[in-house]
Amino acid sequence: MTRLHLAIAIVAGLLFANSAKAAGLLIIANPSVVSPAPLTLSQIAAIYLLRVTAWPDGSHIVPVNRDATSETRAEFTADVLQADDASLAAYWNEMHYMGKLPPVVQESEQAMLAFIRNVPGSIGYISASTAPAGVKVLAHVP
Amino acid sequence: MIGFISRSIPRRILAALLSIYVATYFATAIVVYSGVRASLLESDATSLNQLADLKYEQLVNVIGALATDLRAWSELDVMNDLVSGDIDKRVAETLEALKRLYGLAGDIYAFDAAGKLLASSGAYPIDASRIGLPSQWKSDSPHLVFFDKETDPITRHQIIALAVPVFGTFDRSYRIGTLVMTYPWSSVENQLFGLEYGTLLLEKGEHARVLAANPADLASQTDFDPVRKQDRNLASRFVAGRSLPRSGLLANWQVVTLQASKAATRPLHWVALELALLGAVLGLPIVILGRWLSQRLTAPIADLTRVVREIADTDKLEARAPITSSDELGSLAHSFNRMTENLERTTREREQFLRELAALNQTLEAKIAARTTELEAAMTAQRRFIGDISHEIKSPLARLSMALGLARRSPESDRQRQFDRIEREVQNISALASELLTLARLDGSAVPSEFTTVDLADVVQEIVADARFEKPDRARDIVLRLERPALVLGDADLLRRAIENVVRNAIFYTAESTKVEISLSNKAPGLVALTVADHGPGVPEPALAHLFEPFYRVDEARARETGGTGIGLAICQRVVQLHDGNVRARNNDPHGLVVEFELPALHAAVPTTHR
Repeated sequence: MTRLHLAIAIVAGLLFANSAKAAGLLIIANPSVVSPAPLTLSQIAAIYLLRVTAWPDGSHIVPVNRDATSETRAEFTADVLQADDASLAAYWNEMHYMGKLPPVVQESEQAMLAFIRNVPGSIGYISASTAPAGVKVLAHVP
Repeated sequence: MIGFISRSIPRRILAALLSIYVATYFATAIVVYSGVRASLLESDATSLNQLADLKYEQLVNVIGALATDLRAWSELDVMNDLVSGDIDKRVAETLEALKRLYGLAGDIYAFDAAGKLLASSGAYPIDASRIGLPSQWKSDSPHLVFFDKETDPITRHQIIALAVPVFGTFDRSYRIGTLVMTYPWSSVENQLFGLEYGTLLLEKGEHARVLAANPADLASQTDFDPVRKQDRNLASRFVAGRSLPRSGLLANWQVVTLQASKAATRPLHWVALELALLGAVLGLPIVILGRWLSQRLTAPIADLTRVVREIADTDKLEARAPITSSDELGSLAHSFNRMTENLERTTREREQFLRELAALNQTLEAKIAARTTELEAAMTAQRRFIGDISHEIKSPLARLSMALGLARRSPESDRQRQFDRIEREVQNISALASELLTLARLDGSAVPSEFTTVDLADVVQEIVADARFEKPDRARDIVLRLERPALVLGDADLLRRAIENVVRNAIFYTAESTKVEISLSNKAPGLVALTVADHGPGVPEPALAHLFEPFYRVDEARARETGGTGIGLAICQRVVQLHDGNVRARNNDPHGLVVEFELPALHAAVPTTHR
């Protein structure tokens, strides 16, 4: 990818981010993930707080987060996880000591999409304004 | 050289000693030299082994550090982006930063699980999207893999490579890509090669090959078969050291350090030089000792030889060999000296004998000469004697002839007187003939007289009695002193005639009233002495010596007057000599003649064989 493409992508991301407030969030997952019903917010929160680590079929859940500076992440933290950054950081630190790694971080919507597409059992979120190409949408957070 | 040595025993001994020394020392020197050489090569090989091991370890450390780094890097969170195709270029940035921070000589490439090149530590000339994971780097191993020397498919440089699979941090079993790190071969060589002479890096195993060599032509120079190279004595020209085989990434590698044997054994030149010097230094006292010993051993022989030569050259037997020791040589010298002494004594005796013989010869010649002179004198005397006889006979014959002539012409009355005279002359001639006969008998001594024991006192007394009867007027003048007995061994008749002759002379040649002293004594030792001394006119001193010669007369005229043949005293002397005695005449004091007889006394008379 050239730097030009990268620049376009960043600009596009910013644009999507600005429009995210209106559109809300899409919870996406690798297409291999089989979900009997749309996930509830508490279910999603349980996954990201590492309380649930496996899909109903037994496959490993790979939660993917955005970088801490991202507006999408701030929205996700506030709306879905319903916690503030400081307490989350403390929580994940605690989890780390217990041998559980916090969610993988991707720094852009595209990277998030590419990761989710490629890694089986992965789950992430994107702005509702971004097209969820090649991924399975599990829920829509307004 | 051999002739020079074999001419002298000391040289032979010296040569033998020297050759023993040289052989021994040479053998020792060879053993020492080869021992030193072996230990030199051994220590050299040891140090080369250590060096090779050190280099190998250095390589292992460097590559090991790289491998550790690469493993760590593969577990970075950011590597999760390989899943998302490194959209955010976070992996690329990380790789660039790592290369910069670690000062890496090579490059790091990140491939995703499908083998697509996603990121690298540097720019590369080819479009990344087209580059897949090079087939040689593909590996299913879940661990780090080491790739030997090869050409980097991206940069086309000679490199070695390390490849490590990358797994997602979220799921350790989920492989998300591969990290490959290259390391330039030139850096490997820089690590490997130092200032020392020869270093080889080998790849072992089936595809054994020389990976690197310093100098570059070393491999061809040594002409090794790398496989066979495990043989220790690979090349006599080189000493080799090898790294120990180890497990790990570089198990297939072996570092071989080489050094030319010549360089390794250069200190041996000094060893050889020192050995040669030591040999020479040790040889010097041995030569001196050998010379001393051989001369000491052969000096007695040389002395003996010199003495023998001296004797042979000069014929002088005084020379003696010095005896310096009590061994066999000393005993030889001793025996030689004894032999020489014997020879010398024999020679001396022979010379003395010869001298004596010569002296004897001389004496004999002298005797012969003396005898010849004596004979000549005797012959002269004989001739004179014959002349005298002729003269003595001629005179009475002339007178006889004259008397005969006178008688013929004389008248009858006077004839008687002439006849008397003729008779007298005939008696003279007859007496002379008788005397001559006696003398001839005594001289010739054809028949030895019959010797008996005679008492000279009886003989003398008889003669004196006859003389007194014959000359009564002189009877009182005769003084007789006799010592009885005066025994001698002899012919009484001859002795009587001899003594009578002297006594009669003393009486007839002296005037009346002149004393005639006759004494007979046993003069000690074993000698009978008879002295007849008168006090007449005596004889002139020069005549004394001739008194006992035949026909010698002191006074011719008086002799004819007194009568006598002139050979009475000669007969007297012969008789006395026949009896081993002697008779002398001397003048009496103040005048007169003394005749002394000396005859051996009977008990002392030696029975002699008479001529």
